[in-house]
Amino acid sequence: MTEPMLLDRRQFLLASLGGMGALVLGSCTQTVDQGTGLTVRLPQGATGFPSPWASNADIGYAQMSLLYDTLLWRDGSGELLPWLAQRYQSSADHLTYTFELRENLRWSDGRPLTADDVVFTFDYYAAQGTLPPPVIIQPPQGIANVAARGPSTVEITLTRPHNTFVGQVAAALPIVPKHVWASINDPVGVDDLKKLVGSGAYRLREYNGDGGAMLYTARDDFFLGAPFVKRIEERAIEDPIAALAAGQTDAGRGVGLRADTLAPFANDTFGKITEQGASTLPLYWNLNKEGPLSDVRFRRACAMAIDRRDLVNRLAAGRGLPGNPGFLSPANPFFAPVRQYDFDVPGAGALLDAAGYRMGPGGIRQDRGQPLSFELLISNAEAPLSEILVGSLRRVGVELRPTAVEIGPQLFGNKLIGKYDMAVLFFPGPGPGGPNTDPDVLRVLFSSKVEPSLQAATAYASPAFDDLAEKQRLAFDDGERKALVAQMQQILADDLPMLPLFYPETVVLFRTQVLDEWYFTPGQFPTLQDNKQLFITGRRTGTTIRS
Amino acid sequence: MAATVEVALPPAVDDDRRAPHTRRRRSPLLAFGLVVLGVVVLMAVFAPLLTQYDPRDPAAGAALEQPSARHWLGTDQPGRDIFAQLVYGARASLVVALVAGTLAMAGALLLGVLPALLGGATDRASNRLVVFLLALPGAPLLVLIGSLGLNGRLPILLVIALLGAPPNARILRTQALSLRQRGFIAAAQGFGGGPLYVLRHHYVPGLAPLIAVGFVNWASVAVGLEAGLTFLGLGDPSGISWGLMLNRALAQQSIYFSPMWIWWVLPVGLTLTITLLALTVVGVALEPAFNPRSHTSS
Repeated sequence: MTEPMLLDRRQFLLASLGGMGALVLGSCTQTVDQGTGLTVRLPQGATGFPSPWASNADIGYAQMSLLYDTLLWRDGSGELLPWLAQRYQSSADHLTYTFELRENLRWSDGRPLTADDVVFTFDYYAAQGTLPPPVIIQPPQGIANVAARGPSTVEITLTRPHNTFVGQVAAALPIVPKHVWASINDPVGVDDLKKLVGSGAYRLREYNGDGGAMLYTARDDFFLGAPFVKRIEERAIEDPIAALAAGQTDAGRGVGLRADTLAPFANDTFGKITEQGASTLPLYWNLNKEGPLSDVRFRRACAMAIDRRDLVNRLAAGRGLPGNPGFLSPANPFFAPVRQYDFDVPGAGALLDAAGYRMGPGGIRQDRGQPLSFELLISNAEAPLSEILVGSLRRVGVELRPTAVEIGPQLFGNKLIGKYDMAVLFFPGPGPGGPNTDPDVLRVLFSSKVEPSLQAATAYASPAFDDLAEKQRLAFDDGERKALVAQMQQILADDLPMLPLFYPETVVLFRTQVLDEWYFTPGQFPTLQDNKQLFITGRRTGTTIRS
Repeated sequence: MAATVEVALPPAVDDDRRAPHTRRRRSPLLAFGLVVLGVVVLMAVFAPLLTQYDPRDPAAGAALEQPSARHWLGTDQPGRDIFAQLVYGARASLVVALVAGTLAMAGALLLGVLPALLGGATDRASNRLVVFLLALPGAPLLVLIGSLGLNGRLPILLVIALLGAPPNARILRTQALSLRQRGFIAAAQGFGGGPLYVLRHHYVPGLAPLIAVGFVNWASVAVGLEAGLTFLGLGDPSGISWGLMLNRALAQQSIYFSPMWIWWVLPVGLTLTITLLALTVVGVALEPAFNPRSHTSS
């Protein structure tokens, strides 16, 4: 007995065609949704939990900043905009800053945002101590007192004047609601979406764990008005450039992209912005270790043995700048010319000879009977660089043993606690547009008076540098500051506690039909990732901020 | 009345079974496998003669050169010759195949055959250990070890060998137990044959075919596992291996936007695939010839 047929052949064919048609229609991505507004798709998954204390690195900060606001914010030209604060003023001695909040600010749960929340935020940060890397925003230093002088007035007093307070604290520290966080003792461990009550332009609708996809939707009651972009979809994509070409995302970012990679985007469908010095890969020596690593002659010889211009050619397809021993990128407005340690293998060998590191068995130099053989801690993603470094130093009799690890605890943790000989770690900056433009970054990274941090040089101490670093932070005159920063760069180039290897060109490609203007924000701290203002104000025709 | 006596004639002796070496010569699969493996061995042994470049030398050429008379398969991003890496990568695969295969079979003899011959508590304890080791998930264990930073060649080799010992120990133990119960073993012992005599004349010939097949099969698995680990970036990052070559190639941003995958990904992928295929077919081809079941059942 045969089973009765539910569909005859003709019906089956029609149903199949109908199904295929539905699939085709469904797969046609409609980025501009006429009914609900614009959707932007970004090629990155959640980088940590998007709270101020658990969002990781620069991408995580950008994701968190969609939910939380700061007192001030930078627009596409780098100008500081009134944000939660509609105005501020500083005292003549630059010790006291008074911020006047906007009226009728509200958290996403409808409760009012007041000066008490701002005071609470500063106090709460101060109570946390150092946050685990790679959380970017750390408790601000040098705050003497934060007090509410009314329901919408906050007065912040510093222990000493600091010329980056406005740009790197007031415009970077996310303000959080007291009524949510006051009862939480361990904010780093919070992963409850209900706690993500912010003042930001977006709500987080979907979160699928660290690395997972996220969906943000616009808050029409945002204090600057309904955002231009209504939905932001983020999901991890391994090759954003290929995904952009395939129509799976609306923007893609890369560094040192080859010409053949860029070629498919040279048409009106796509836009492109580029930035020099937005990131670098510095080579760290662990100065805590005795022997060659703490010998400046050894470090100088290493610098001479590495052809930094060739690194640009090989690893960035010629699109970038060679590393500057003074740390700041040549594109940075505070850059000063310093000694460069030009590529010179015989010269490097001679320097090592003069320092007493004689050639030993197997072509490896020795220091008091011990071979010059060092572990190189480096991310898996930088494997080609490690291979070039191994070859470069091998030519002068120095052996590198790469320990290539995933970006994460093995890399960050070991670097932070100084468990390495030499290391290469990605650094966001220090070019003119994007994070760490301000030369105070030199103080943060190299002053022995500053708490050790992930990106800082290990165990470098120079009283002369420390003195200059303190002076420049107190200088509010650009000319005076430039002169001080130039001296700081000279000292760094002489001592070489760290050597930027190269600054690859950073490129953002985007689909112009969705958003026709993207930008790197000059001076934006702490990330050059997508400035949220772009999504709030929208296209070039509508970039005037609504204050 | 004449009684009819039916005499059961012995089954016709299969030529293949009687002369396995004759059949091996005739098997096209085996021939293919052996030829490929021979080429791989020659590549590994004569690597310095096949290429003038050191596979680790970034100064071999410019970055990402196209194939030319100087660089037959072009260069990678640091400027290393890809053909040199391909040729020298054969060494890594062969070392893994030989060492992991040998260690796995040595472990199998230790865990399977020896306790089976000793019997008693030793055999029971060993059997439990084998069952425990069999329960370990192989690939996740290797990924865990690699991600813990124990990604040198030796730890990886040892773990691959450790994973290969239990399944082979089970097979060898069964055969050893079977041999122990055979009459000819008791007869040999009854006629005064010492343990070494029995081992040499009865156990070794009875187990050797299984050891050979097990070795080839596990060598194939080991090459695949090592390539997989290095492809995932969990192997020795300073080594030269086919898996690592694929890892580096696919880490190249948007490699499929350019034709470079044709001379970078394709040759390595094909070489790896064909080598694995060769090892597999050799194992498959050897199995019927060496499998004791094919001699005893008909």
